Amino acid sequence: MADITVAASEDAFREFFAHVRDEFAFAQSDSADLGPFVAGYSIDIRLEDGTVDLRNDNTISISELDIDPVVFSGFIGVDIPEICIGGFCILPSPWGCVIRAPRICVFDDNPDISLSLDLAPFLRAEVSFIGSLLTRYFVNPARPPGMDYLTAEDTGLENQWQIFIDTEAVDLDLFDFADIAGDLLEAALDAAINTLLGPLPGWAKDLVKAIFGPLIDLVRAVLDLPDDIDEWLSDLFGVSLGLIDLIAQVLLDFFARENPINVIEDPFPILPAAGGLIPVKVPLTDFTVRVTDDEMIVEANVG
Amino acid sequence: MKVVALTDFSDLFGSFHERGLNQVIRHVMAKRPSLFNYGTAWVAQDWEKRLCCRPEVAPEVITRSNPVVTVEQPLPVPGTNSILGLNWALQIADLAIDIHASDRELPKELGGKLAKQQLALFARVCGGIGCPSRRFLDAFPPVALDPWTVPGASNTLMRTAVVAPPRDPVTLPTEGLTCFELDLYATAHARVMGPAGAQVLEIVVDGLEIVDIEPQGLENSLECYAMTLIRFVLMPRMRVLLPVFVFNLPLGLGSVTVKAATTVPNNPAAEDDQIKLFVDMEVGP
Repeated sequence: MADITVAASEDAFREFFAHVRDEFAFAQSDSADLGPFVAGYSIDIRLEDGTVDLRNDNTISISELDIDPVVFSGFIGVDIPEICIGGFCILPSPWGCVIRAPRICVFDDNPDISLSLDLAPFLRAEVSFIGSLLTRYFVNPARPPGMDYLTAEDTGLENQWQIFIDTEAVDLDLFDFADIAGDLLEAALDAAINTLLGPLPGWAKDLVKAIFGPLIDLVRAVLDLPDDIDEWLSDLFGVSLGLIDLIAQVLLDFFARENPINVIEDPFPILPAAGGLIPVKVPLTDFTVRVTDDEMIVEANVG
Repeated sequence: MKVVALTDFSDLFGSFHERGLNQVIRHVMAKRPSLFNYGTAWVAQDWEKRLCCRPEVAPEVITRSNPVVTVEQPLPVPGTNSILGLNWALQIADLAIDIHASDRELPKELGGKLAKQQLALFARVCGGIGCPSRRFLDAFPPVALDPWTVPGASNTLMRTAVVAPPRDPVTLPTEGLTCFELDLYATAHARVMGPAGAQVLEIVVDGLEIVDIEPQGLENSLECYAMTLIRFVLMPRMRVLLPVFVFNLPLGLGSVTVKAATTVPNNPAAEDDQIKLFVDMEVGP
C-alpha cells in the first residue's frame, strides 16, 4: 500500500466529461485571397453525445463523441473575366458601320459570383479516443550536477513528476462532408451563373453558351478546379485555410497532448519558507497512475 | 465478488498511510528543528554538545544558517525578581503517529490498544536544567538579606545587608544540563461539528499518559496539567474549517467544486493505519 493514495470514481469522470462536453464551444472564422477567387469559413463547434469509460486495462476510453457544428459556412467569391458579346457590325458601309448589334457585357463585377455554402447539416464528425495516463520523472536538464534542491528552487530548476496522456488511438473522422459539399458547390455555381445571365435575351444566352461551352466548365477553369472537386474542397479548407489543422489541433490538444497535463514539484513543499527558514519539502517516489473499471488511482510514497 | 473500490462512498478519495505521515514528521523535524527544540541562548550556541538529546538535523539547515534551537528566556529563580536564571532545554526528540489498528502497545492507562477511529501520538521528550556547579556556588554566595528577628528577642539587629543597586539578569553558569527523558502517549480522535458547508474538524484528545514518573501523584499532576493545557490552549487552535475548493476550468468550461462528503459515517476516518478523506465533486457553470 502506498503512503499517499488519491482516487477519482468513474461516476466523477462521467459527470466531469458530460459537463465539459456540454460547455465546450469553439468558434473561429477566417478568409484567404487565393488569386482569382477568395474563400473563407465561419465555424462554431459544439460537442454532443459520447461516453467515457474507465477500463481495467489501465486505459480511459472516450467513444463516439460527436462534433456538432452549429455554424459551419463557407463562402467562395469568383471573379470571372469580363465577357462581352454583340457590338459587331450588321450593316457596313464605305463610311463605316451603319447598324451595329447591341453590345452586352457580363461578369464585370468583382466578385461576379458569391457562393455561400451551409455545410453544418452535413458535417457530423465523430471522435473516439483511447488513452492512458503515464507518469515520468523530469530531471531539469539545465540543473547542474550537484545542485541542491533549495538552490534549484531558488533558480527555477526543480525536478518534477509529470503526468501525461498517452494516446493509444484517436479516431478523428472530420471531413467526410467533402463529397456532399462538392455537389452543393456545383449546384450553387449553376444557379449563380444562370442568375447572372438572367437579364440576357435568349439568343444572347445561347450565344454565350455556344461560345464558351457549359458555364460550369468556365468557372471550373477560373477556380482551377480539378476533376475531383471533393479533393479540392478538402485541400481548400484544409491546406489553404488551415481549418483541418485548426480543428484537429484543438481536439488533439484537448484529448491527447504531448505536454504534461499536470506537474508536481519534487521534492514537494509542505511548509513554505518563512522568516529566513528554509521550506520543508518532502521527496515523492514511486509516483504512479493506474486505472481500474471503477476508478483512477494516483499513488506515491514519501521518500 | 466485486472488489471494493476506494470511491464507493464518494466521488474522490484520498488517504495518507501512517508510514508516510511519520516520514513527513521526520522531514519536518529535520528541516525545521527549531519547532521541536527550545532552550536558552547558551544551549543554542553549542546545541550539538549541550542539548540533552541530539536532534537529527538536515545538512541544509546548517548550510543555510537556520536555527536548530528556538532561544527562550532562562528559567527564573523565584524570589530573585528574575535577576537570576537557569539554563534549560526542552525537546521533542521523537514524534510518531499510530492510526488504528495499533502497531505499538499503549500504556494500560490508555487501554493498551487503540479503539476504532482512534489514533495515538507518541512523543519522547528530552529536557534538562543547567544546574550551577558547586564550585560556582561557593565562589559566588548569595547576597545577604536581613536575618529574621525572633519576636521577643532582646538583641538588636546589626544591619549587614547592603541594598544592591539594580542590575541586569544573570544566567547562572553551568557545565551542562541535568537531563531527563519522558515517554508521552496521547490518544485522540477526530470529529466534525457544524452544519454542512461550515463544518469544523476538531481533534479531541481522549487520554494522555506520561510513562514512569514517581511518585504517582507527581505523574498525575503533570498529566492533569498537560491535559488542561491541551484542552484549553491546544485544542481550540486545532480546529479546521473543512475546506470547499472551487477550481475554474480552462477555456471557460465552468468550475469544479470539491468538498467533504457528508454521507460517510466517519470523515475523515482513522482506520486501516490510514487517515482517509472522502470528497464529493460538483461541476457547474
